[in-house]
Amino acid sequence: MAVPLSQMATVARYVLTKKLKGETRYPLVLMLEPLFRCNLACAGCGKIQYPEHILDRRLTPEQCWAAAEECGAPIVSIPGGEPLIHPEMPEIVRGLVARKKYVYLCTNGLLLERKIHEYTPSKYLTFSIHMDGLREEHDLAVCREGVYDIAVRAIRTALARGFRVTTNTTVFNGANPQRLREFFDEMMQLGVEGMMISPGYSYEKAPDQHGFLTRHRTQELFARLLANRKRSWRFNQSPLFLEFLMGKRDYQCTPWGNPTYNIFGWQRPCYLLQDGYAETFRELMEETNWDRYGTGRNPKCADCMVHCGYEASAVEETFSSWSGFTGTVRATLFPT
Amino acid sequence: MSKHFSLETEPASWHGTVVHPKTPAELAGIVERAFDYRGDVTLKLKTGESLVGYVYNRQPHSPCPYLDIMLASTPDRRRVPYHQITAIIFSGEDMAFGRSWEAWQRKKQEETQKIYRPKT
Repeated sequence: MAVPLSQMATVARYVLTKKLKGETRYPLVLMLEPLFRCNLACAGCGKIQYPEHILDRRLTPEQCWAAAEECGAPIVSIPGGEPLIHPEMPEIVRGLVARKKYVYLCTNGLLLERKIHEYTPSKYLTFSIHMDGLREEHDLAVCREGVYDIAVRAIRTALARGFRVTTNTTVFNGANPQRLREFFDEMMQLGVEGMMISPGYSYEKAPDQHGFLTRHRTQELFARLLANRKRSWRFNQSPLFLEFLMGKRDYQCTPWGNPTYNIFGWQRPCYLLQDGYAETFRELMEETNWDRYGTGRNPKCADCMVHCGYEASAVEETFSSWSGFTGTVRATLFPT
Repeated sequence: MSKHFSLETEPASWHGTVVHPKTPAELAGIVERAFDYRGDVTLKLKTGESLVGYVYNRQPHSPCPYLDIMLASTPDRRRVPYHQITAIIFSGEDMAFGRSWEAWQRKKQEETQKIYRPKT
């Protein structure tokens, strides 16, 4: 099982409570971006292209904890930039863990071996290591050779020290399904708890504008990638979301499911699209015109099938109907 | 050297462009470009003040449209009503411009050729 039972129970209790209260829009995962500076410049990333004075800014631990409390989501994902560059990251993580948030600290792994002693293993803390494929594909995607090997070493070190470790993989156009399946084998052999996969979002500011998948191509690729999947592969995500990627389910985007907080404030409408900022979480939820975003509503959303928009939709289906629940159980036990 | 803007032109790079909007529509249009720009801009205000920084937010549909700017020289941010702006200069480098995938591929190819070039 990829996700521990205690985490599943926490998420289930949280979602059911929201539903009992009649809340139709609620956050599931806070995307906390404490800085934009990164020690890589990946071709498919549109997150880091800012002037120096913006890259020098960071959220304080107090700002991070306040955002987590204001938002209330049970899971906090910390992407960036590279979070391990932030000198106060161990303190930020400690504060979030003390608040019983399930933290996914997303890192490219370059600094992990050097900094891992600053962290304490906990069921609430997972290192989510960015891995875009086997050595050749990963180093090409991150535009630097040798990164794959460092990340693999970091995974081994973190596992040896008793940390929860997952991988997160962005699948781009031209990906070879067979090579990715070999990559899944390799990650599971390393002993990671689970893997997260998602198609890349076509950031307007990313250097590589040819690498992004169209919706149809995404479904085609994921259908080949995940068909007849091995029992040994564990995915740390909703099985219904994986079926959505394979074209077996259709969802509308729920951008409020993964609200994003960074140095500018609460990002409208989602983690990927920058259409301005709200000063408070409440303002984000109440004053954003959500009808302007999602499949068929906004050209910038046309090809997006990314987890931060659609995984919350899949989770919502699990808890909304008997068929959604049984579908989740079936897809977990008998993935096709 | 500064480049001057009209609504009919859309330069490949906005860096160096100076705009003195003549109408509210032109002002709103250029604020959108400044918001989309991944570099610093300089705002000239009616008060004579100049603000240099990164425009990270704008509210064109607010009763009094405004933009939010993070200043380059201090940790502060400022909210500026559109009607206070007399000129926008795209003064800082566009950090998203010219760092293309093709440039990375070219560099990688050159490095590979260097490694495998036969010694003469």
